[in-house]
Amino acid sequence: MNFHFLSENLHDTALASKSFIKNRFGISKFNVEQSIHKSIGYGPTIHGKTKENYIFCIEVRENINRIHVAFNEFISECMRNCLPVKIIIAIPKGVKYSSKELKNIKKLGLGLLEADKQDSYLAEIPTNLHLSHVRPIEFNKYPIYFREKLHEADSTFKNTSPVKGCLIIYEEIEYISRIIAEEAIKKDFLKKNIKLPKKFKNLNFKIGSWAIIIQFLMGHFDYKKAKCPQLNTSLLARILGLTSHRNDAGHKPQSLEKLKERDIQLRTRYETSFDILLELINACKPIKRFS
Amino acid sequence: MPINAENSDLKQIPIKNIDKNPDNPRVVFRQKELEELLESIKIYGVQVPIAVYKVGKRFVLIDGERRWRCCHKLNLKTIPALIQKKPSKLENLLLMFNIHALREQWDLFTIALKLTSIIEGIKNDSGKTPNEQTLAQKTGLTRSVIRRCKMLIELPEKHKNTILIELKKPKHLQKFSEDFFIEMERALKTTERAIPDLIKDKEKVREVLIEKYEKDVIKNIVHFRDMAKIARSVPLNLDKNQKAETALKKLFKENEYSIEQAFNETVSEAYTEKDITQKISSLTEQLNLF
Repeated sequence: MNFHFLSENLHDTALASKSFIKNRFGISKFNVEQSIHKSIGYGPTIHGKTKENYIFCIEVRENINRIHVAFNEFISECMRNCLPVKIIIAIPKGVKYSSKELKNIKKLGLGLLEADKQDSYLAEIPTNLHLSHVRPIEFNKYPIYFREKLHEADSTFKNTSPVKGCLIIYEEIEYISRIIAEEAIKKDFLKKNIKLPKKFKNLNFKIGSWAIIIQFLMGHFDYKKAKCPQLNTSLLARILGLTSHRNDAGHKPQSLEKLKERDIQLRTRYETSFDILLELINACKPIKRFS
Repeated sequence: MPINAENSDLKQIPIKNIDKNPDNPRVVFRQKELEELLESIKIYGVQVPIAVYKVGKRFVLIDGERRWRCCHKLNLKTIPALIQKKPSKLENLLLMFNIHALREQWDLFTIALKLTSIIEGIKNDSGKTPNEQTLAQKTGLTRSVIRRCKMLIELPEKHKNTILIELKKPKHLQKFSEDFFIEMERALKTTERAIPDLIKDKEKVREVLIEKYEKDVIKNIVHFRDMAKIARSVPLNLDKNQKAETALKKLFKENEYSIEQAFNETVSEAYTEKDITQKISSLTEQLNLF
């Protein structure tokens, strides 16, 4: 690796970080001190792309006590351009840092690697920078029953896979939808005098298609009878909108630009699905109460 | 060949067409210093042009390697540069010394490393080895800097490597600095001059002193000056109890015996006495003037 900027005493740290990232995230091709995108000048020490087109940047430094202006601007530029980037600051193992300094790194969404030829240690996991600044979720508004899953969704969305993060929330919404459908049949909260179409007659609420269950509720659920005024067609229609993204994980964007476009959409969808879930939990309280 | 704007063309040249100068005496670039410059260039741009000479379609740096490195990091396309005529090898080296060593705080050891090439170059040109005065004139360095450099050049290779490794560390983390070796070498030279037969194996003594410094038995590099004082006490007849030689012998062996201890046990009082005597005689002289 031919470094122009990095001091010679940090070359070993750079090489150790490279092999760590290679083994951990499966990146095989790296660029040295080169720009990561045409809109950004600053070249991090090393960067490479994952199979999913995410850009992984490593900035090698002597310590983390100060983030210089140029690097700070680089982070802001990545966010402003909504680039799918993860940034790790790599320091030589053994360099001391305070918990306050680590907190600052975390606040910026950066990772911290204590790099060593033999034994590197990822002290802080980097977030997907373009996804780290979504609206903060107020977890305490959700019943305890869901909180663990929602934290998992949040961390998966920001740290590993935004698609999978969203899927975790969809699954929770789907789970509640199925319960509502089952209860509606069991307690006869269905509209009267409407003949069920054939596709709903043998519907299995446990394993049947989520979209069809929502369509069933939209057509036949009597929210007045169930005393759930908020569980209306408007909310159900918004849930139906989510069902088409249930299998999104299978479609991988083919380029950085496509990935960027998809993740911008996912950001909105992530926030929306959290809102829908909360609305659904509150709306179905007369039928099913979660503690 | 003087470097000035009149003999040069000022142009914006592509950064990718510039190569490092292999003769640049500066071999250590500290990250902190580079980052400070990077910040400045990010905010204000390159305010001072670099100096280069042309070789074919490419350019070789004479002055401005740090600016060039920073521009690389910021992926700037061009940099302002003064384009000079291609210098001879010796001219190239002397140019760099005169540009850098006077303007910036270079590491002494990096100067020392290239000083050998300059001495060789002048020797080839003029047929005789340059003295300190000539070297000072040619390089723009003071004679005391040249003397300190020579002390470093004469160190065994393994200690030179130690310095090079230390130099790559940030200043506050450097233990075996150039100053440590200079102070130690001076004290050893004084000892050899004052008591010629005392040091049989100089390298062994060096190793012992280095280890003592590493283990904090010798706490400060200025204590080597006291070691020199102990040795000098012999020709100065200050070592009345004849303990100096024994103390130095003990000091040069692997143990916990420090220079401070040796000095206090041998000649500390004698030097204080000498000091007071000198002050009294100086005072008496001044009083006599009245």
